[in-house]
Amino acid sequence: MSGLALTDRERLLALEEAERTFPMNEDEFRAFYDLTARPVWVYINRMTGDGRLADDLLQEAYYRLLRTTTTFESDDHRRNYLYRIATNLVHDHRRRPRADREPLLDAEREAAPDVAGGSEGRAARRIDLARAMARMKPRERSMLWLAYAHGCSHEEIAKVLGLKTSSLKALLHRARHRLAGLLSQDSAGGAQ
Amino acid sequence: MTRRICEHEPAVVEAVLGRRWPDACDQTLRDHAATCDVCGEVVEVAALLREDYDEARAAISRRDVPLPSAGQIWWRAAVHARADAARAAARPLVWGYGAAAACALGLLAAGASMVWPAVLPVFDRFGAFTARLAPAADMVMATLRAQLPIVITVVACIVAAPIALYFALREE
Repeated sequence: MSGLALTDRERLLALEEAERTFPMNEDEFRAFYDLTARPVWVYINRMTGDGRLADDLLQEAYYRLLRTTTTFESDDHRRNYLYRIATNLVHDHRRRPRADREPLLDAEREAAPDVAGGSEGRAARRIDLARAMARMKPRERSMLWLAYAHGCSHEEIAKVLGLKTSSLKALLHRARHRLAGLLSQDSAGGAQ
Repeated sequence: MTRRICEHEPAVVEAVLGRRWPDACDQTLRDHAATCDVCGEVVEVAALLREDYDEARAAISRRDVPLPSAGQIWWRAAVHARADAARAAARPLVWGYGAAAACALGLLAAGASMVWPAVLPVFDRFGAFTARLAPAADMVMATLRAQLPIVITVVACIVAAPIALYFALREE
């Protein structure tokens, strides 16, 4: 969201227009944002491994949500749509040439102070998880995170990822099985 | 073949995500998970992911840069939407300029074809003059041919420089 050269008057007009054209008013948006911003940021952060990038994509996700013409039946519907936007933004970013950075580094960085703080076992488990997740396919990562960190239903995950609900169970099972395998490999490697 | 689905899976996931696992949940569910491959795997994965989620959420408040407030996001979205609308409104103008330029080029070509018969004798005289310079021109051409890679590079630079400048200096 750069390159905006508007006068003060235009900015005021922009706020008036926003109230008219955005699909919710500012108060509704504040309530929705306060409810969803942190989980969505965490989701983007865990999918990209980059806190600053998560900041940018978070803003872009809400901007796209505010510009959509879709009618939402409920806050849950709106939330799922937001996750879908976030997922697409993460995937779009990954397709760019500069997106070759190692994912999930933030998780390792956050876990590091725990080691110094004395909770070594927990920190080591989280580092194992970060490394195992980094080896998963992006869609598997999203699926597992939405299912087991956010507690989304199969229907919700299917909508967010653009999959059929009928195929999601098998895909989720496969992804979970693979993650469990990678985790047991990592913990066996760490124990040696 | 490995079993893929267990009817107790949703209950296990709910217990883990609700932070009731293992101590605050039903003993029968724990006994089941201890013997069921599917539920055992679900517990292992879900417990770790949920813990990571909680830690990541807690880490947001420890960051140097807090998340933007709802008001900031709303304000930026409003300004950005206005700028987008202004850009969209300017788009037909750009097409108009393009069409005008195309018309101007067409008129220029038509004008040139009309005055061409009058200009032709000048070229004939110029041709006679250049015929006298032919040996010198041959020498120049021979030199250019010998240095062809350099010539191509120079021409490419002359062509590419304005394009590169355009991409470097444009707003986005």
